[in-house]
Amino acid sequence: MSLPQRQDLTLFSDQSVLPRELLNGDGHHMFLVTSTMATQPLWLLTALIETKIKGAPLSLNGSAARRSENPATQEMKTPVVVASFLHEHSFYHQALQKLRINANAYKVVDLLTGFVQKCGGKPRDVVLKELLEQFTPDSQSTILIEQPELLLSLLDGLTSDELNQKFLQPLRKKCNLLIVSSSIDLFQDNENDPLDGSRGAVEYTRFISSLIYTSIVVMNLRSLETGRAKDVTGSLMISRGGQAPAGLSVHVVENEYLYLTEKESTRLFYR
Amino acid sequence: MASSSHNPCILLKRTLSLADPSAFILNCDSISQTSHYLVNEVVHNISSQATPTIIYIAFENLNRPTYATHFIDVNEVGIAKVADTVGALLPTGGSPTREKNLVIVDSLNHIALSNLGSFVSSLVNPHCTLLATLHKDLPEQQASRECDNYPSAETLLQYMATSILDIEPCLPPNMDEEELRSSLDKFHIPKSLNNPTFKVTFTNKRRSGRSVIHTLIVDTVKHSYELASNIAEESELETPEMLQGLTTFNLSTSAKQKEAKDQVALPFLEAQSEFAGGTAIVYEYEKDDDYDEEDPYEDPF
Repeated sequence: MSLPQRQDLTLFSDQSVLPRELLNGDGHHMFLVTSTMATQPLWLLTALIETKIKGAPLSLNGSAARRSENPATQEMKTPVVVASFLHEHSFYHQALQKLRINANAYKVVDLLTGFVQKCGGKPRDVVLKELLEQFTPDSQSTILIEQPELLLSLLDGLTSDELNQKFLQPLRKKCNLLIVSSSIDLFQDNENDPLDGSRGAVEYTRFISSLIYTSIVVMNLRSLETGRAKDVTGSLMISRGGQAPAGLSVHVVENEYLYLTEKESTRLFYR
Repeated sequence: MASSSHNPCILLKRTLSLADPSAFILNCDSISQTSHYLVNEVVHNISSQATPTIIYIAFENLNRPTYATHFIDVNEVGIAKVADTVGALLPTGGSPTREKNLVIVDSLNHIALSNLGSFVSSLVNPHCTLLATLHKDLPEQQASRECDNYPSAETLLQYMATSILDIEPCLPPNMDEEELRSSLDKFHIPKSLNNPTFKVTFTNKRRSGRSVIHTLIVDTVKHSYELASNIAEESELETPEMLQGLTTFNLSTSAKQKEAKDQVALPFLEAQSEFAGGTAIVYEYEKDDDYDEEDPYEDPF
């Protein structure tokens, strides 16, 4: 059986994933990646980091890989910070090493290890401030943060608005592009059993909705509605977020890809 | 024929150009269609006027829009000082010049319900129009629901607003509202939402207290507004092709048959025309009738 034609990942109308205009501008933009347990976003996150560091998602795009010898695509040397509430340093080092990314080009911040020991008993504001201090402001940098919604459970009484105002907004101000990866497992398969109106569910819904309103691109990884297939892992839906890329001449191109994750690589193709 | 001030398209155009004195325009939006394009449309409409002052109060947005003359980041200024900061930027005294000054609030959802009324009223000013957005699909904070009988943020703001623009997407033909809702409940955002063309349910409250509701399709690329019902009617006109192949019976009518059908005089129409000059009840006395002239309730005529 022959596989369908491999497609390049593009998010914007200039066929790019991260338009130069966006990275060189002085704005504070946000991308959102939503995923579930069945569709882990690691390949997409590493592809976005790779795009920032090398200029194109070489691991995904067949055609871009051929252009990689071109020095013009290798000039972006601005810092990338990967902060995670889910994975430790070695996890990202290994994943990025596979893509042949130099470990000096990025920094991994492990936010969860020892969190309870360090932050136990401290007021919420202090904890969020201390977390923020781990990021140095740089108007050209990109920060990727994995599952910040865990703070809603980790800090007693934290509301979605507090998390946004006291952590994510200041974090957005510290960089040029903030990529937030969030899990939307809670909202799947609720057709027969709707979410209760408990405080936790309300805050979580508010948090994810607010993220969508503030981002310019929403990348949603979902599993196939028909079940499992050998030749498809899931689908990647690219849709416009609540904000338009203000002041940019490019716009987000909506698209739906199917993807297949194999042992070493991920391939994208059209539906 | 309705006069021009009753034409919903012109009324919406006047509202979006701030030509009608409206103190507080409320946008109700959702993830499927955010108010972004509508706000840009208002800015486009007023930008032809001489140097409007546009103050942008940002709860969510961190990037100053190119059209904003002043940008207030609430996180930096603090919510308590927003009204004073805005007041200092607007002219004081003199005759009201509402059409020249616009105050935009990107989201009212992040204000505690108990402070919402006072926040909005502190921004309403005779010298400006307040254009504020409320996200309909963001559940309300539970902490702010101290009193059970206090209205929800949406009800409260709809009561305060002088014009309400309820924004919905124009759905692609292969999707219905139920499908959209179930996708969005899972945070799966379907394609072709957040388009430059969308549906607006426009509530215009008049000074008399009467409010008029119209549904319009707004195209922000061509800057044209059209009544949604006109478009719906056009697409629902019955054509003979629609009836083909449904059954083996012949359900369609030819042009000649249609003409003959129109000419049939319906009996009830004739019955109505007999009394075209008005009707009267004539009471005829009979010999057994007991009529008392003194009794005021006896004779209703």
